[in-house]
Amino acid sequence: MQAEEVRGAFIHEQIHSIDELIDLYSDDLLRLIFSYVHNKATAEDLLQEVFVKCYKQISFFRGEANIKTWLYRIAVNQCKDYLKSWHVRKVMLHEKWNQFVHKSRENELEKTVLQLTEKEVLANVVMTLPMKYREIIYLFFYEDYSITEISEIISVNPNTVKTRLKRGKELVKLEYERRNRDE
Amino acid sequence: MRGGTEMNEQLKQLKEAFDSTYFHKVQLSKDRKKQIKRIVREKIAFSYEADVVEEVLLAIKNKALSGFDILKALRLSDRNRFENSEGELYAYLHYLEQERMLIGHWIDVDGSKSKYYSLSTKGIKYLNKLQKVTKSKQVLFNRLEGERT
Repeated sequence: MQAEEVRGAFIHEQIHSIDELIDLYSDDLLRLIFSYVHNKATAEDLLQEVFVKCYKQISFFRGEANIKTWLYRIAVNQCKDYLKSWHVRKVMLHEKWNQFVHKSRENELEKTVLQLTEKEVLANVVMTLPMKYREIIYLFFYEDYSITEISEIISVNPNTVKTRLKRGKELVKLEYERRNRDE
Repeated sequence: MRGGTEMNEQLKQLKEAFDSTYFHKVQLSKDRKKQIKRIVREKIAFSYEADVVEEVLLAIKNKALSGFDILKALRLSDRNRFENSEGELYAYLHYLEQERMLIGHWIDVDGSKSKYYSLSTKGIKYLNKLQKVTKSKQVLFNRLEGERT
């Protein structure tokens, strides 16, 4: 069998119909995407694009990764492209400005923070981490991915993943300490 | 406050923590999922070029061919469409199989399995339609060319 034929056969074994892929992975992907964009409607739109893209990039799928890891990788890139886009950056700047103007309102928010349950605090602390730490904490602790798998998904070398995971945990700890101090 | 190991213990509850808070409503409704399936299929269909589809279907019109044979057949035609992107041809084949335009069979050739493709009834009808469109385009093109000279 020719090499290209083997690869073709492989693709056929691995990739099911698009409907099947959507049934199998849309919920996992949607949560992953949400952890980047923090908005359900945006996450659903991006999810759609991920599935379209996965079919367009089928020729790059070599089979060394499993299909879910591969989809995650496409999703992560999609999210980062989205967050880098001009429109989003403008909106985020706007939100920061609003926060600045309505400082008093922020105190109200702090009050409710104190009433959060332990789980809510943990979720909130992780969700507000800078993206490069949050994504790794998410993939490691929520998805149980290994360092090697994470390095494939976010296209960063394994040592950097390790360093960021360590630093991410430190940041979570510091944030806990800060919140306790303020209490 | 907490040591490194304690932090690990804490973070092990992240799944529960996220699922009961942020992710509580992060899931697709049945209708939304259906809608996404439809839109994705439409967008995918749109990204395939009709004349490539026509060539692929034409190549297997008279006999079943393997992906590699189809690639060779397309390379013989002047377009050389998949010269550096053989994988893309398999995307087409997969797509056309999903749409039931062609039927794939695994056949044992000298001890190794190869997939052979043949046209389905739906595929034959579709090919005829495509060829008609191409023909009318050609007629129109010739007429325009004729008018110019």
